[in-house]
Amino acid sequence: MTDIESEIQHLPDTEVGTAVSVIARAELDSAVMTAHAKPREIKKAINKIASLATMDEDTAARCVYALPRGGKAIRGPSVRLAEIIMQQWGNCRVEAEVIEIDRVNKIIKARGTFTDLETNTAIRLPAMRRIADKRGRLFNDDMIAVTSAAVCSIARRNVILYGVPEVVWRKAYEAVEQVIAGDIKTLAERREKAVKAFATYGVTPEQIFALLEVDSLADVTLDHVVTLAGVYSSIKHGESTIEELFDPRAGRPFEVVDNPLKDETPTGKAGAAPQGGAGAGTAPSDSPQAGAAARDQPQDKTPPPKQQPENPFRNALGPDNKR
Amino acid sequence: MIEHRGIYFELAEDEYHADPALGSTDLRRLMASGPDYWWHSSLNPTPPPAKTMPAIEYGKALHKLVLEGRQMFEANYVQRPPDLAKLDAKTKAELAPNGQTVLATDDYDAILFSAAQIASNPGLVTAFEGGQPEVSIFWHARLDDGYIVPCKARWDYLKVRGIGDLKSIRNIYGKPFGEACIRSITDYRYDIQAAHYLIGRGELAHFVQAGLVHGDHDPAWLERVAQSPSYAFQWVFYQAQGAPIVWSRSLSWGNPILEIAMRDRHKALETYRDYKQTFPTGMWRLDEPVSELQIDAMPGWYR
Repeated sequence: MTDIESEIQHLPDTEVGTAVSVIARAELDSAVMTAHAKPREIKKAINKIASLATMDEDTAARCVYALPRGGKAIRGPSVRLAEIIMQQWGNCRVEAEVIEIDRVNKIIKARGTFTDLETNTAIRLPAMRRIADKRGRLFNDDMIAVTSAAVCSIARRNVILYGVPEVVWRKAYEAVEQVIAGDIKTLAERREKAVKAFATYGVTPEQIFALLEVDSLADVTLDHVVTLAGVYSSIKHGESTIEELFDPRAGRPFEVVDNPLKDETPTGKAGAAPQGGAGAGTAPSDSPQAGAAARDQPQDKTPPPKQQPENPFRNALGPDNKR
Repeated sequence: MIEHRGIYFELAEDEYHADPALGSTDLRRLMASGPDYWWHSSLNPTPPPAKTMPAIEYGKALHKLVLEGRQMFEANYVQRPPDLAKLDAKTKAELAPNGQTVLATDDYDAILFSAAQIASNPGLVTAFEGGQPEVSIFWHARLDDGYIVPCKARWDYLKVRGIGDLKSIRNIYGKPFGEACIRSITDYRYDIQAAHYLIGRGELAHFVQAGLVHGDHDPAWLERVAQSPSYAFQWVFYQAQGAPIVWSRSLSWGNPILEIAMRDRHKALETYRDYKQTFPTGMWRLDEPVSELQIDAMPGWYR
């Protein structure tokens, strides 16, 4: 036990708080003085960030994350790149901490704080993650601990990318993407490599194609290679899970009836076959949906017709409706 | 007890509920357990009286106004005067001579306001126009082994391309409203209701063809509904307390949400069959053997 800790133990609670804050204040003052004495060299930092992040292909791959959202991949600098940025930018402090484990709403909240010791500015940003599985059941303590680490990583990354001007790291990020993508000569090799990397998580090539919305390996472009590297990185760093990204049901195409309560165009073509049983024409024959639907149909039913595209925005009923 | 079959327009709500066929609430109870269903069903010779809570009455009144219009609303509901100190039998008879429900002053005003808000939503301006409110359908579901389960659905609003379902919810935890609606869907398994209603909708064309249509309706319009090549289910959620927020989402066939709902609906139908066969008469019981409670049966947060 140090002398200071020993002294603190004998102080009342309020005085302990005061003593700790005095120590923290002294540390901060000392860091600010050092920052002013040795200011950062901006150009040097920019170059070093780019050089470290693109040191080799594997490092570059760790510097990108990607998450599929609404049919598009959101890509950006990863936690690893943020760490390089923070280290090379210098004269700053970054902290991330869990601020609440909300077991009722099943979310965990963290916040990241970035303090620039040279300019005396601070930024604080929140981050949040679910702590429930896909059935809505609360995670156990181990999983909550794992999620805490992941949400703190996200909070740390976000606050660094806000705290350090984008102009400092943007070129490095672009260079990272180029290194990952390679060129047309390396494309075939990198596609294969990406598919193999995902195979270690049990992800099949078909699941990857579905994620990228392509039909085969030949359709995977240079840009897709970057996305795959980002997705892989986000799984590896705990920012997303295989289950979230490769739920075979998510993103599966089906015919959406656009705004079904909006008035429709008269689509009841003369002689058109009547609509068949539930789920007609859209469910695979081996799905529970089709199974239950088929079981609900009376024996004397006609087979359902295939659904057709339509313009739903006109009213077929007119003013003689029954309202 | 009358058992219905086919499509019914203007069927009284009590008559619909009295039919022993399985509706969406029955399916939800069956998801919990057979005895939960039995207790509330017509199989129970002494079922508990239906609860009338202000929130339920509020929802019913809003339905009446939004789905059936002002005239029908006023024929069924009257506003309690703000200065009326006590609502006894005599005052009620004067206030509601035709047996209307007396709504609290604030609730009545809020319902009028809510209905106006829903109608003013750009995406929902004509959502509850040009169709038919409270259409009931009764059909038979056939399970794998040929067992027949009578089913029923009462669509809030039937249109050519859709089934509209209006829900007013109280966002008690103050969540973003969309999140609260999704929570409500998962908590009360409204997805199962959607699946059940869409399956019922799938039967409509055959009942029209077979002439099993009852009540006053427009045959030409119904024919158009029957011939519509595609249709979907649409929720319209309304925040009953606080800001008048409307949130609407649809479910089309092929949506994996419906796949999950269909799976669970099917389980509920099987539970019904199993209990019916196990307890042909008398109360349905959950006869589980006594066993030790194991730690892994406890929820994650407990450990």
